[in-house]
Amino acid sequence: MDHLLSFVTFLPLVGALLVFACSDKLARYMALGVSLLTFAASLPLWFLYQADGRGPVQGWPTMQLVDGPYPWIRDLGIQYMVGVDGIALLLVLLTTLLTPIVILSGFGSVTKQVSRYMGFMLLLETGMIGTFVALDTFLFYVFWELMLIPMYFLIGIWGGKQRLYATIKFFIYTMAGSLLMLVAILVLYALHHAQFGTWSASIVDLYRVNLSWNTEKWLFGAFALAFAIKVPMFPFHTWLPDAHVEAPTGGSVILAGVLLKMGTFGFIRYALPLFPEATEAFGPTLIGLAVIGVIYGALVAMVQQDIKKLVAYSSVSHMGIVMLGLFAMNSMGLSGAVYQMLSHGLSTGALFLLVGILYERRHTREISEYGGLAKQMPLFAFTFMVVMLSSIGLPGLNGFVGEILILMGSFEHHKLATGLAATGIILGAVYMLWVYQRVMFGKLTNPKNQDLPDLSRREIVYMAPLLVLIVLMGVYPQPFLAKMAPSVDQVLAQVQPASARTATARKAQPRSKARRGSKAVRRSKAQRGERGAPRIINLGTGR
Amino acid sequence: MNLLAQVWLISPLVAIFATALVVLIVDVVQEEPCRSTSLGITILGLVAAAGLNCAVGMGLAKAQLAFSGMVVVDGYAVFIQFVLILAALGTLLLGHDHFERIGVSIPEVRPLLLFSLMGMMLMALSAELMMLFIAIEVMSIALYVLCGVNRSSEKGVESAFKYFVLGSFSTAILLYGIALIWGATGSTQFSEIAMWLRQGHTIMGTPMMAAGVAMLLVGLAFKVAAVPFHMWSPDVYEGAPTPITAFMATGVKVASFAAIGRVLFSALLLGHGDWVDALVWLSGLTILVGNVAALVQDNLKRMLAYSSISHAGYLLMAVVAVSPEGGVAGNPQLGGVLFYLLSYTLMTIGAFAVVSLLARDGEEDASVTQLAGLAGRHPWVAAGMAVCLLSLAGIPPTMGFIGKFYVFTAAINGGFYSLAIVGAVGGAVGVYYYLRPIVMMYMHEAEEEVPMAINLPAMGALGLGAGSMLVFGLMPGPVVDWCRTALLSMMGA
Amino acid sequence: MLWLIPALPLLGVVLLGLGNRRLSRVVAGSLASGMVGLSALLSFATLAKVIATHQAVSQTAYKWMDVGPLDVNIGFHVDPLAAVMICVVTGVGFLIHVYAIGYMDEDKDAESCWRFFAYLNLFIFAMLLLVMADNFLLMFVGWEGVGLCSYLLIGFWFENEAFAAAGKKAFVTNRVGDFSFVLGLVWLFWALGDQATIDFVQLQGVLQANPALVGGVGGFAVTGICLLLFGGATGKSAQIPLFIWLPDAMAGPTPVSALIHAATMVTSGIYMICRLNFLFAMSPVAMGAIALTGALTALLAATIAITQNDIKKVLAYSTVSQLGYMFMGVGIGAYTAGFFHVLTHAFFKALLFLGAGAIIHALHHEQDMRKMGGLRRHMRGTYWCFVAAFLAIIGVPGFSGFFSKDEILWLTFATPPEQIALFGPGFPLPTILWGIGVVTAALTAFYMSRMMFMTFAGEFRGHHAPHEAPKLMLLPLVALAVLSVVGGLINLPHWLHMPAIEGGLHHFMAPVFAGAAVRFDGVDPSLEIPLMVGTLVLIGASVALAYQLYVKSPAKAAAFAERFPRLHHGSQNKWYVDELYEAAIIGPILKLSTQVLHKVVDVRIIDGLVNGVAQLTLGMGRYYSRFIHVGQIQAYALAIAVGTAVMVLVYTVGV
Repeated sequence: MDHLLSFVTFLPLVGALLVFACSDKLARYMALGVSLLTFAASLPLWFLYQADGRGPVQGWPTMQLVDGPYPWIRDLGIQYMVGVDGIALLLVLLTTLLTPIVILSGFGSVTKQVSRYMGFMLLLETGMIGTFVALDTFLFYVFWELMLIPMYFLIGIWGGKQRLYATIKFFIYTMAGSLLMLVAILVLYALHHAQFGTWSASIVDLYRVNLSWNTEKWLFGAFALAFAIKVPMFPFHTWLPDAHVEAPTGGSVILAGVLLKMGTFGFIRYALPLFPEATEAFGPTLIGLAVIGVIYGALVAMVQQDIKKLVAYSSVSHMGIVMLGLFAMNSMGLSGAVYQMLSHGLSTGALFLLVGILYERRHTREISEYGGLAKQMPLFAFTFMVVMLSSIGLPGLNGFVGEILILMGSFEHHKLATGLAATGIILGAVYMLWVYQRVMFGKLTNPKNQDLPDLSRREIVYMAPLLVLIVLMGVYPQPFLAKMAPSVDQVLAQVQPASARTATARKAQPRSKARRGSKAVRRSKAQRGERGAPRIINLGTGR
Repeated sequence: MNLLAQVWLISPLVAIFATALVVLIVDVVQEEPCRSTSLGITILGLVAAAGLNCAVGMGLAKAQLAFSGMVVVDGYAVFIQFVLILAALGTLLLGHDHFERIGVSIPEVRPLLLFSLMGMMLMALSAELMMLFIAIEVMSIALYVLCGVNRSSEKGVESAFKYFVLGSFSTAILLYGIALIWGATGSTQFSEIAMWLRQGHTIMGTPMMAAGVAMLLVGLAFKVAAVPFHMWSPDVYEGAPTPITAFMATGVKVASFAAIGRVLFSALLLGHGDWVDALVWLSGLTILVGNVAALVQDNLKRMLAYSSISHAGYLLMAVVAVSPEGGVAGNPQLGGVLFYLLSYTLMTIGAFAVVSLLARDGEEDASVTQLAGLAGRHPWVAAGMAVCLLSLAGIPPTMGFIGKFYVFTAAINGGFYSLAIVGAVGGAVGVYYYLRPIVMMYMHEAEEEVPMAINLPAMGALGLGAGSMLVFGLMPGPVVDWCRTALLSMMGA
Repeated sequence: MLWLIPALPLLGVVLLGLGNRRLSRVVAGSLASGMVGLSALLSFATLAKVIATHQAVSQTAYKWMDVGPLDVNIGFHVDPLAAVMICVVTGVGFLIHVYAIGYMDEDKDAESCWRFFAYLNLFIFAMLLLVMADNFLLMFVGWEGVGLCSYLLIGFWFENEAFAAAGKKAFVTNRVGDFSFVLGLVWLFWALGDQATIDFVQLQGVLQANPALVGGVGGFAVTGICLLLFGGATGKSAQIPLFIWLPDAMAGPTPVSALIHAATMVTSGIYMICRLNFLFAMSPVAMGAIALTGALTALLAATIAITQNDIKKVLAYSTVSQLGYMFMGVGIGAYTAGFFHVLTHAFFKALLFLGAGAIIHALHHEQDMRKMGGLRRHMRGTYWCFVAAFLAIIGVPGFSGFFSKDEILWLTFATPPEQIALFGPGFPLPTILWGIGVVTAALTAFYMSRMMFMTFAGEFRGHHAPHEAPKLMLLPLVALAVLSVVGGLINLPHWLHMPAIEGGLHHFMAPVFAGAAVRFDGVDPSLEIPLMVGTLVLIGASVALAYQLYVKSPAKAAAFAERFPRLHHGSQNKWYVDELYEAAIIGPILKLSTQVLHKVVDVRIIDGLVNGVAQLTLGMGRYYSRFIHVGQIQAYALAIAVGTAVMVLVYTVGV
């Protein structure tokens, strides 16, 4: 039982190795089997995780189901250690749920090099789960990069016309960000040694490192950049449309469903708790970008002619909302953000699946090619409708819960931003309903669409669970919220000190809160720097 | 210490020498030389040398000076020799069938290789500047010949000539530097020089010494092809027969860095005085130029040449970062150089193995496009190549990543933040050209099917490279351990 | 057992969904009607209980969300207000369901009838949620839910591009309202600080305990909140500036127009304000704004209605106009009066639509009144029901519409100005509003009579012979006709001096509106009768005028239109409001997004930068290998020499 998490993490890897070796025919079922097994194995996590239980990690009660630490590279003080808190738990489950679905969807769409495709999918799954569960920054980074490679191949081999451009752009763009993050991690790693005399890359230890304001600023920048690219936040989003449009259906689904969440998850697990003061100081900037992203993404999505591009830009918009919630710095906002990550994973994943289903039948993503499909494919139209409604946050479906929580949360400190971001409510409806109308409604004019088959049994099988969850998570969100609540508070507690200080400063001087706040932050930071850190980092060369 | 004991200390060297002679004789006496026998003998010799090396290493309590302080044998030397033997082994494996294909059937190739190897090992051993100089010459002269071994190829001859001319030029500078240092300190012994520095003299304080050090560094920088002393390498790498290129890319780099390490640590007491900053600049420049220039190369060998230049930059980064200030005991930054050298050697051998597979009847220059659709035809070759390239790019979970991690840690722990950032940027740039071959192999269909001369030895070399990338990428623990102790043994001395 | 009321229609949706194609029109219809009928019975039972016990009934199903300060249940709270409303929703809903069984008998719909009834049931479910919710968020679920259903039902015949577009327009316009609604809700939530709650009952408690939280009466916060919430209402209830969607919504099948776009959904805005009366009463400015908006909408819509030729369009605008009345009512604080009009309007407007439906059905989907006429003889039943509704809406004494409308008008006139201090307490806003109200009443009488005459009077101008509606459709008509006639009895005015039965609704609603301190003693009550008489005279006059123009000498009407072409076209084209929005908002946004944001900012600037960096790096590489790394040994040697020189210099001189 105490190795369950590791089992879940590496089972797909083992499966991948087997699948690579299989014949194409066998590979399909093999991969499906493995992924289903992984899902089955991951389900107990939900029940084993006690939201208000206490995990073994010192000062981090919400971190449970911990496996390790086992020494990995003794000399470098690098350990193998995995565990989940309420947030990671849900994301892991999201991953293990989406993978079999994606693999099943690949049965029809993937025709060449099947065994490789399936293998890479499983490899990717290990990478994703690992990123969520890693409790050692080194381990985290390994998984983080491990995700890139399979996705790179998925887009590059099974993608569309422009696939090479897209995949290389995706890889290098992300790589650039992560390399800077690596440097930042190493700085923390070195500082930890400087301050505590031992080498350790474990997150818990790095949380303890004291930073001078100057250092914190830069480190936060590095982390934030890496994650912002992944999210993607405006203006680092341009790799996304390309990647999405060119990627095969499965790739897009995973990309939108899970990979984008890595960015926001990174903020929650690393950027915020590691650098509370910087979070406080740069929060407004990031919120600004997030809000721009919300509106900008929606507006650009509105005018796309390619369905996939449209959905891609809608992701930019939705993830902007998530970022807004993240930096709301209160339990509502953060819970909302996490919840929105889940529902975005489901709904956008489902959207890409649906687009893929169309593409399989007609091999085009041009909206103008379609129209009046509702008559021809009623079941498809129904599914699309539900998913679309979830994506525009219709109350009673999953999208609404996250959205409203985020808006309520962020309104506390950021009234204007919330107001602007709320326009997403309108714009989202506009572009989604519009595309739906153009694809589904009207007369079935295009002769090529005359005899499109409706959803096949296989397609129904893999769409059904998504629909069920979309409804369930909208009607009865409490269980999910309850699972994550303590973890959310934990994260907030780690970021609190700064906010608390600023809050007091705010009370003292309601007029000029922002300036006052950041001043207070710097001052306190300086003190801490002197107390803790022997080596104040300056970013020039030499010692 | 009696002679026998001293000989025992350098027994690996002796073994190599002996093997060289045997092979030479065998190849000469036979009417038509049987390649496999001589290969067998050579490999046996190398294995024996490796074994002796280990034995010596085992018996070694502390660093031992021998031959009146001309050579020093310590964990550092042992490690380096091991890596060098690996490099030679790899070269032999992928060269075995290769020379046949390009129509070079000169029996002397193997002995020459071994002689050059001897020089390299000697570089690791030398405890004294003149010894170092001789070692470098032994290594180089053999290589000059090897580069031009394919007389039918103009490029080969050209490369040999270029290498020879520039090589001697740089050696001259090196020698001059040695002379100046001797003039300043009155000795060529590393320990004496160190002593002189400890007596309160500083390098920058004594112009003659400073000039000497500068020239010494230039000489060595030339060998590792650090910018701006790198220009020979792309041309030479491209022209020389692929196995030789591989040997230069690995062996020469390893040996020269071994020398640099020893000189800097045990003679010049790295970390005292700001003359190190020059090295920082050198390193940064090398990383950037190497990576940027590699972007536009279509010739695989040339691309790998530039890649190896950039790696020299990262190695320099590791070297300068290793300063006693970091705190010696249990300091992970130590050994970064050695680990990087090992992983670099292995992955480069792997990459060149694939390059050599592309070579056929005299035709040697392998362009990236020739890899198109390789994954379809030879999945395993493609996979191996992919692993090596990812490792070169420093992407986990490969040994190359651990190396990068290691080096960056060292730099940051030494306080060289901007250098680390330069390194990161360079790495990001590098990803592009390391991906190109992968793109070719996996994402392109071959328009003209390039035949691959699959042969067991070469595949062995590839397997050795790729395999160890993954294995030590996932469990680097023991190697890391070894690297640290090795480096400590030298810094202790 | 309260939860059963919404649950039954939902069950209906599920069953219909499971049965789908296999269900014939009649089966599906009866199933749906049955479900609504059952929940109607339950509703009346609840109403009876509430009346009997003078207690609100409430029930909590389960915990929905519990995050930080937010704690929401799926819970229902039925006070007198809600009790009456659910009866209307389910009652009228039931009648219309039954009617629909008869109406949807076209072959082309046979396949999708189940879908139609599923949507109708879903709508009833959502509407009930909206009404019964005990907290903001759940209400919002219903609020958006009804929007969704109206979207689905307007676009029910989705093969017609225009219909589908109309559906989208409705949904998006509603979303604009929801946007403001959500902001109001969120603001209110945080304004309450550590007493934050979104439960209506608790909210009332908190606000009465310390109004200071929202800035006290007339405070900035409360005004902002109320205006934002009202913004939501303008969307749902088709008021200025968001009324544009309702006329287009007539694309939906007529029963839908009757149920959603006349009787129930569109009144939810008024319902919401009544529910939050205690909050709105705290902001005279907001109240004034609401009343004024209502009045202006009423007038504007009426002016448009007088020239429309599509029978459903006329009714649509009349609906908008009547909704305006209701807002005027609640705006001045006469919540009961406003709600009273909601009820009576639900009866007669639903009746009018169903009647119109019967006609359209009879004429095979002919909606242009110019192709009607003389139907009095062909469709007697429909005709008489129609007459009842007609008399009710124009406010002939004794009919339901008269009582509700007259009460609103009188109370408007009697409102003390400071109570709706939009333009400051001194401004005689009430009188102005009253004036507008009266004019609108006259206009209403005019266009309704116009419609009556054009459809029923004169000779039949259409093609295929009309036939009387089937029983299934006629029965609901009759039922509603009765209600339209006697509906007024539930709230007779006090000047009848019949203490036993007067103001029934008032007394019943009293506890709900107890929280709102509003008074109507602005003027001397003795004026009430004269004003009423005056209004009636005006109404009579306009009916007569309509008779002149459309029965006696139709030529005059044409000539009149000739005389004032601008007015005529303006009115016929809805004063070009749609075009205005198109040109001022939608067009620019689309242009901005395509031309600027996408083509320039995204592709050129941002992506250009990204690719630019890549190109630059490649370029440097190219430059290097072309111009620096030329392959000449001399150059190499030179490089080495220079490098050495520099090194030596740096070391010796220490540059």
